[in-house]
Amino acid sequence: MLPKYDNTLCIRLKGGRFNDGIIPATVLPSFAQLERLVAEIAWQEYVQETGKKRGKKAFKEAMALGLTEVNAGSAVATFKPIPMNPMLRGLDHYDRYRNCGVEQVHRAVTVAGRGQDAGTVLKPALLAMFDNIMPDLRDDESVEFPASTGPTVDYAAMTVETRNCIIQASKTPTVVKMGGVYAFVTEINKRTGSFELQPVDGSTQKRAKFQDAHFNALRDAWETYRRDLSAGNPVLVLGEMEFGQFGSVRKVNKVDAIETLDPLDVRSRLLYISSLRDGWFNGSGSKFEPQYLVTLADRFDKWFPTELGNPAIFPHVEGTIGCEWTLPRGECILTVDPQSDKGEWIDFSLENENDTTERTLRLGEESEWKWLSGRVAARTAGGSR
Amino acid sequence: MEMVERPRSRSHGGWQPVNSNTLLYRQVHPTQVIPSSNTLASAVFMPESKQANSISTYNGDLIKPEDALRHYRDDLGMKSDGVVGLAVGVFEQRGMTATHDGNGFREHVTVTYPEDKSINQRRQIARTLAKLATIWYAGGPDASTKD
Repeated sequence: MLPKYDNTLCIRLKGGRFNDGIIPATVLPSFAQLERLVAEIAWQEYVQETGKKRGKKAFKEAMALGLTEVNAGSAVATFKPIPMNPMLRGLDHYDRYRNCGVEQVHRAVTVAGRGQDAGTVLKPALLAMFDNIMPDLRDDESVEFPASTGPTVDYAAMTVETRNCIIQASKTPTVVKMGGVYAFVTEINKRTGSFELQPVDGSTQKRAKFQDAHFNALRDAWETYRRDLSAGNPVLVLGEMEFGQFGSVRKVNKVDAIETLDPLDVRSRLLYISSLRDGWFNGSGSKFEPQYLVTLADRFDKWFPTELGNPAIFPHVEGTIGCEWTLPRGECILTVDPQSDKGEWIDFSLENENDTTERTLRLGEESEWKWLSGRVAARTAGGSR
Repeated sequence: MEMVERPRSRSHGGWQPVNSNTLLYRQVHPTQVIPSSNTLASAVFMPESKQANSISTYNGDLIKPEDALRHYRDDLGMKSDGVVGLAVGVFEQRGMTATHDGNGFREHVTVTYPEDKSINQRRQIARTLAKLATIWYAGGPDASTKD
C-alpha cells in the first residue's frame, strides 16, 4: 500500500568529490544547517498562518531530519523526518510546513541561478544561513535542491556562482523608497482588499493592498490574465517599495497608483523576455542577457518616438529579438542581435514584393534610430516616403 | 486540383497527398503570441535555426486543429498556446514546398523554403504568412492552472 504522504527529502550532489556516490564527512554539517534553514522558514510560515508564536522549540524538533540512504547519481542523500518528541508523531501538518521550507529554498536557489535577487524570496537573515551550507563547494560541483518533498523531477542547482549570489543578496540591505514594478495581476481578493502581482521579469509573486480607486484597473488587468493563455496585459504598480539586490523589488509596502499599459509596452515585453530561462523553447533557446534588454528598452525610450507606436517584441530561439510593426503601408521587422549589438532591418509592402528596404543598423548610435524611425513613419499612413 | 507531392507515409504505408487546399497547422509557442493585441510573431513560420530551411506542420486533411494541439502538448510534451492554419497553396505562392513525410508522427508535413532566399527574404515571407494565418486558440495549458 502506498504511504499517505511521501515526506522524503532527496538532495543531489553532483560532480567533483561526489562522483562514485561518495559524500565526504566534511559536507555533513551543511545538511544540519539546511535542516535549520528549512525549519526556520517553516516556523515563520506557521507563525504567519496561525498567528501563534509559542512552541517554537517543539516545532523545530518536529522538523528534524535523518539521513536514511545515500545512492548513486552522483550522490543522492535521502532524508526522512525523525520527530524527537513522541507527542508530535503522526501530525501531518508539520510535513506541510516542512515542505513549504523546502519549496522556498528551491525558489531562492532558482532565482539566484537566474542572476536575480534571492532576497525577493527569502529575508536576508534566512539567506545568510546559506553561509554555512556547502562553504567548501568547488567549481566542478553543484548541490541540487528539490522543489518539494516526495517524488519530484524539478531540481534547482546551486553552484559556487549561485551560492555567492545568495550570500551577496543576504548582505544587500533593503532600501525603502518610491518606485514601480511592471507586473501581471494574477489574483484580486475584494474581501481582504489585496491583490497578487507577478512581476513581468519572472521574480517572485508579491501581495499588496489596493485602494478602491485602483479596483477597476486591477480587474481589467486580471481579466486579461485570466483570459489570455500566457500573460495578459501588464500594469505598472507605483508606490512605496522595498528594493534589494540589482534594484529588485522585494516587497510592495503601499500602492499609490496602478497604470494600465499597452500590451505591446516595450519595457514590459523586454522584461518578460529577460525572465526566460535556458531551454525556454521546448528545451532549446538560451536565456537572454538582462542588462542588454534594459539597454534596448532605454534606447527605445530615448531614440524612438512613442507616437509611432510600439512594435510587437518576441524572443527568437537563436538568441535574437524580433521587433515587428504592422502598419497601414507595410510591415517592418528589426531583428536585434545582442551579441553584435546590431539590428537587421527590413520593411516591405504586402501588396508589392519589390517595395522593400533593407539595412544593417548599429544600435548604439542615435542616427541609426533616426533612420529607423523615418522608415516606420514612411510605412505609417500619411508618412512621407 | 494540383498535387504538390505524393510521398509514402512511413506509418501509414500508403500515399498521403497534400493539395493546394489542404490546411496545414503550425503550433504557436506561448512566447510567439500576444493575445491581448492579437499579434503573432513571424517566428512562428521561421525555421528554428539559421541552418534549417524547413518547418514542421500537421496535415489538416488527417487531423483537426484541436487534435493537433492535443497531440503536440500531451503526446510530444511540448508547449503550445494554439495552432495557426494556412492552405498549402499559400505556401506554394511563395515558392515553398509542402511534403507529407510522416516524420515522427503520421500527420507530419515538412514545409521547405526556397533555397535561394536570404534570411531577410525568409523573414519577409514568414511575416506575410503570420498576417494571413488563421489562429485557433485553445485555452492554453497555463490558462487551466490560473483559474
